Amino acid sequence: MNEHELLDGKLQELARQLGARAAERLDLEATAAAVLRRLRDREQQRRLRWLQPTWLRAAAAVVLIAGGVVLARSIGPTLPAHPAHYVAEDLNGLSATELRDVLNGLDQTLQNAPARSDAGLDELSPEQLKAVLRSLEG
Amino acid sequence: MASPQPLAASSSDAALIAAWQAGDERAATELVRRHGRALARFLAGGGAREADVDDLVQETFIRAFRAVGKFRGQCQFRTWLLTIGGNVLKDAGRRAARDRVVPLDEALRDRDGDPHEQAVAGEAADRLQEGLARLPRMQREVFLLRAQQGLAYEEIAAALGTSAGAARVHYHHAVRRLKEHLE
Repeated sequence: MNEHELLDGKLQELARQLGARAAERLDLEATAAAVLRRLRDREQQRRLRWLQPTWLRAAAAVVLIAGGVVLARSIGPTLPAHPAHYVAEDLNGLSATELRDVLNGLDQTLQNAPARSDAGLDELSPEQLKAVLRSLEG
Repeated sequence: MASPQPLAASSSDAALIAAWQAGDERAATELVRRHGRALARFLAGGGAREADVDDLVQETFIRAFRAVGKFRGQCQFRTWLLTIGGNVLKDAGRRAARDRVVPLDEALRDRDGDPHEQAVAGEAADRLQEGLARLPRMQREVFLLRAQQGLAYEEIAAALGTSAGAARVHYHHAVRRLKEHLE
């Protein structure tokens, strides 16, 4: 039994007519416009759904980093500023005469002070110390 | 992003699909113009109410345009579109059955429009529609793709993921049952 025997003209014609009225009523331009509008809307919704958690994750990361920095600063070792820095700043404001007075005072202090093996400058002779201070004098 | 090439009504489906993928909305409009009515006939033939056809056509095109990257050209774009329409119709039937707004069988019989037009459409068309609604989905879709859309078995098989021989068997079963119903 072949296809032509099975499908008589009436059934074929009926099948071709199925949905013809619905197809004729379809406004293709309006349908196309609606499809594009709905596609844009869905794309916008998809982006919003994606952006929301992304921004939340970014904000959470910023808070964590900032908190970590603050915490590290509060518990970390504070490095003392080098004392020579402050001495130099103080000496900058002195006149030549005043600097000579300071050096003379230092000479006397060094001559009167007992020698300390553990002092930081003990390896320097008084002359070397004077040379250091004179270099600070500029 | 607009395609620099002008879109013509004579452009192939493949060219329109490529233009759409490049962001040209005019290509999508042309594809709707080209295949919208055939899709509407397929959906109405598959049991969609006339009042729902426009929305189902829109939903089918939306799914197709969003998934067009998966279309490998194994069959014609229209055939691929019609199979998506079959899935959309199935989902709509499930929703209608779940929501129980209108029972599916009643929805299939429900016809909008002018009573005179309905009378002209004739009892035979109504009986064919009833018979189609009672067929298994595969038989119904193969019958519509073959008898209504005029597609070859090889094309139908490629779209539905089956063999041409199996599509032919589904079609013959559908015809036999429909003829029994019409008699």
